[in-house]
Amino acid sequence: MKTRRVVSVLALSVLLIASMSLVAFGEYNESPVLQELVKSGQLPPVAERLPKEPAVIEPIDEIGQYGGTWERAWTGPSDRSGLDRLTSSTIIECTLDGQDVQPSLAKGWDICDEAKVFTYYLREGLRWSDGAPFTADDIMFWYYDVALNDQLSPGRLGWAAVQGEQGTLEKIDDYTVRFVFAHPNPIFPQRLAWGNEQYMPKHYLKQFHMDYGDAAQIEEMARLAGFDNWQNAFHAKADWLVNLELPSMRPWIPVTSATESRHRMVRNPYFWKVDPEGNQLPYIDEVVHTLAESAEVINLMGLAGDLDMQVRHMSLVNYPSFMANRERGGYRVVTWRPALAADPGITLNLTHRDEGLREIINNVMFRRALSVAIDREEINELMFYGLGVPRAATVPSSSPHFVPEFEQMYAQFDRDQANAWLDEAGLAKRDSEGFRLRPDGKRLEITIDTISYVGPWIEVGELVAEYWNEVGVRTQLRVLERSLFFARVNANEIDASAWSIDWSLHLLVTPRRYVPQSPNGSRFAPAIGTWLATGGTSGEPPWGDLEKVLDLYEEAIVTADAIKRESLVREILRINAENVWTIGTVGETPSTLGIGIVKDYFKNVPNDAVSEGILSTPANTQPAQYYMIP
Amino acid sequence: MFFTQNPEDNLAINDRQKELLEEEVDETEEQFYYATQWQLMWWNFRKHRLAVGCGILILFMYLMVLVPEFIAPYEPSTRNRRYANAPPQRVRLVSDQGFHFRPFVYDLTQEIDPETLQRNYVLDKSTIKPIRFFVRGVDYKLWGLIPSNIHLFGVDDGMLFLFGTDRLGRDMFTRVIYAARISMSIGLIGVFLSFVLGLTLGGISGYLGGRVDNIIQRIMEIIRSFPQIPLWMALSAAIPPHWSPVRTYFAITVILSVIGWTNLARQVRSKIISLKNEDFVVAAQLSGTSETRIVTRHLIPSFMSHIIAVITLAIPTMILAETSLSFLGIGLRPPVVSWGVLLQQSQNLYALTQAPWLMIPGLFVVVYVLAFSFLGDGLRDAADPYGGMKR
Repeated sequence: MKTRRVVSVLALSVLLIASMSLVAFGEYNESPVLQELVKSGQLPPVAERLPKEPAVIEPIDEIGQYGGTWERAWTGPSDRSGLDRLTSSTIIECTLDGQDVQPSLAKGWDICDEAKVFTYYLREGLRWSDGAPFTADDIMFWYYDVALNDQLSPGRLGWAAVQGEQGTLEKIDDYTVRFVFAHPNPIFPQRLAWGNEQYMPKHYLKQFHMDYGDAAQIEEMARLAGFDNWQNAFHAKADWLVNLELPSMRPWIPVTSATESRHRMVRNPYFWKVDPEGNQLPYIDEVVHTLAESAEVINLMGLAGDLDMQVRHMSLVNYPSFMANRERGGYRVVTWRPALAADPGITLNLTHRDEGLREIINNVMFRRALSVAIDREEINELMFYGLGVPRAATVPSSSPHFVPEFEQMYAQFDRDQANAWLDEAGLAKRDSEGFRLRPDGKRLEITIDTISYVGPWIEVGELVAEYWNEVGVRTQLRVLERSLFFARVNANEIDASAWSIDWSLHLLVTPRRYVPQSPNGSRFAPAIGTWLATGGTSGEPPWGDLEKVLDLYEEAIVTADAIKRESLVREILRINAENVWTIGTVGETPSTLGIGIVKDYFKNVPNDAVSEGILSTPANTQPAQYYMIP
Repeated sequence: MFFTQNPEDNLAINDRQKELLEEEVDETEEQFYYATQWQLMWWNFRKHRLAVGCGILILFMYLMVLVPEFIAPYEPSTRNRRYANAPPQRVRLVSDQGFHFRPFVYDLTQEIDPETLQRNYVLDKSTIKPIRFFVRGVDYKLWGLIPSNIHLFGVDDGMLFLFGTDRLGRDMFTRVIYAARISMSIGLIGVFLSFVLGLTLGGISGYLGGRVDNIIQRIMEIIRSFPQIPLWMALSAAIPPHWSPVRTYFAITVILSVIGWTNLARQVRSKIISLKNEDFVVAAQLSGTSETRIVTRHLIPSFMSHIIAVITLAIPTMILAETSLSFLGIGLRPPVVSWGVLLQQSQNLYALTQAPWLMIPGLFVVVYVLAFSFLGDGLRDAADPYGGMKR
């Protein structure tokens, strides 16, 4: 198995190299803006700025044209993840459909020794935006001097560790790095493609680092810049949106402060991706983010045709307005597919503090009954214009782990069945108002907690509460402020919650929705998440099927054999589906990062793409190859 | 002018003076000087036409929210898939067949634009739905006691949406009426409690002075020195989690008023201190009037206008602020229907572009708040009966 994987990867690399040699080397083209600079001697020629083998990006529709200013909007520095994602540049990256990873800064890789050793081959001649060479030292610097430096990063780097043992990183030569783990770590490539920082410009940042520079001088510098200590000063210097001097590998680099009303990013002259004809990417010269007061304002700007292309913040509820206004606004509307299992899903607290309620919630018949009591078609029609998929909360169809059979399990609306199952679950007795009584004689009451969000969680929560009231389970919805919600979850003080079941594309990379592994992310068993997070000092130890999926997950993440690993993941999904730990509603809805405004002159934007945090969408659609017809 | 605020207590006026007066004043003026405080206020208030009108309007609104189940044709949570996001229906008298004596509406047919997914509603002119009064509809229990199913108005079969519907197809008219019940009652209970506490304790403190004053003032200072946010957070943790949002909000307003009375109490106290050595108070004391009577009949009425101003300002603030406590999980949030909640739901692009009728609750808040302001204005003028007297 191992050899087969290595062979396939090597074959892929060879293929890529072969395809790259087709590019007429030495005849690269560049933006006219840069040509001017080359002519005036301010920049070296394009062939010297590009690596020996640039990454070749196949454009979505056609070869583009240079130039243009891409108008976007954001809500300010708190909304930075939109910019982080847009310009994300990683060692390896996710494919458009999110199923696999592809070369990026690394042109290829080897995986050997039962997925314990990962060797990445960097492109030779990569350069930072200031022209300095990008080498293995920059990755070594980030790993050992920043990410694993006790003073700079007190928490360990969880995603580069297996079973608590940190991986080691070796520099083989200037263009080769090797991650070595004590145990098999087959999901490491997915984690690497997702990670946001995996390298840092050593040549620039070492002057601010205690281990490299003069201690007194660094402290003095930090103090003068207004920081308490050198660590904070270093983090600020290493932040690409804060420090405009920071050398970068991103397609566009900022030239204005993040607090400006028009935040400008200009093209990186050393960007290392080209199209198949040897045109250096990105096509677009400049990206401008206008500061907007709120997401509502951004929607209004989109409607007015003031944005060239934007998916972030565009709200599904405005879809008909966007569509009706297409001609006047001069744009089209794209609908991407967020990898959402449910929007939102309802989780009942299996580790509830109240013994009586806990016993009821832990009865699988009760959870199945509540699931079939929900009219998902109606939710889809009323809240999502029918654009979602009424389904159970298993992984979305865009996931490599998707099993069609689990999608509709206990997801058919059937009120009579729900009532029958509830009666069977020992809840047949009702009070004078028609609500069911618990075996201990009290009225069965459930509160669903949620927050106010872009997605219609409140409305869907209201509907679910009504469906459950209709089968005699007294349910009310409570809308909390976000941090109060999490405080309640962490304290194990919730009955049920309504929250989107996101992070469900790659179950092993982000298992929280299916494995009770996170105290506030796995809301079907918060006390178990707390137990695991605190090393057993609080919360409660896992039991029953919850323990079983934890064991399966622990086994799967160290199983190098892909087929065996997949069968373990499916077992986790089967247990989830049968237990209905999370009650699904409508999934794959384009309510967040789902619909986008694209101007008619703005090209190479895919009509269909999988949208997910783990893929840094829109990074998986390669924004560097978007172009604008002048 | 040697008359005091309250003529009926002017026992010290000697007969000669009285005779002189009687010579001068005609009958109506005589009536004026011998009228009680309340009569004076009423006469003055009556002159303030706008205030009277607003008073009647407010009375009418309260009558309406007393029986929302009867006034509203549906229940606030009744959803209707076929009429999601429907515009308000126009009440008509003329159809293709001519004039109708009974107002009617046309039924609406939903059409979903396959491309934009916009829900459009077309009038179904073949169906004339006459609006009838006292129709039978959803069952309800008035005040939890009287079971009934008679609603003030409605159509026989089909639906009637005077203010349109929201995204779930819930009747906005019904929701506005039910929302009024919560917004016009619960928030005001807090204002009322603050008023009673502030007036009583401030009055006692100012009038008695000395040790009692000292104790009350120190208690007030302790209460005022509590930092509010941590206190609210502690309260939000203390309130049982299974309480309904309305009950929680009620508890919070009561607790807030227990803390919030100190402001008014201070104002009342200082007013009383400044007034208690005035001649008319001394006169009342000398003529053996009891202390309670002096405070309630002589002191408080003399600064009633000030108190009315404070309260009329507090009421709109309370209504507009009902949702702001939500950040601690103790304010009003959906599924509760209150004016604040309905307004919050209409503050977006969606309401503006696709469902402007969702903003109708705003109209009600404006009317209610303005009506209260004008009423307060009239009351304030009336409470100062000699203020406008030009002699």
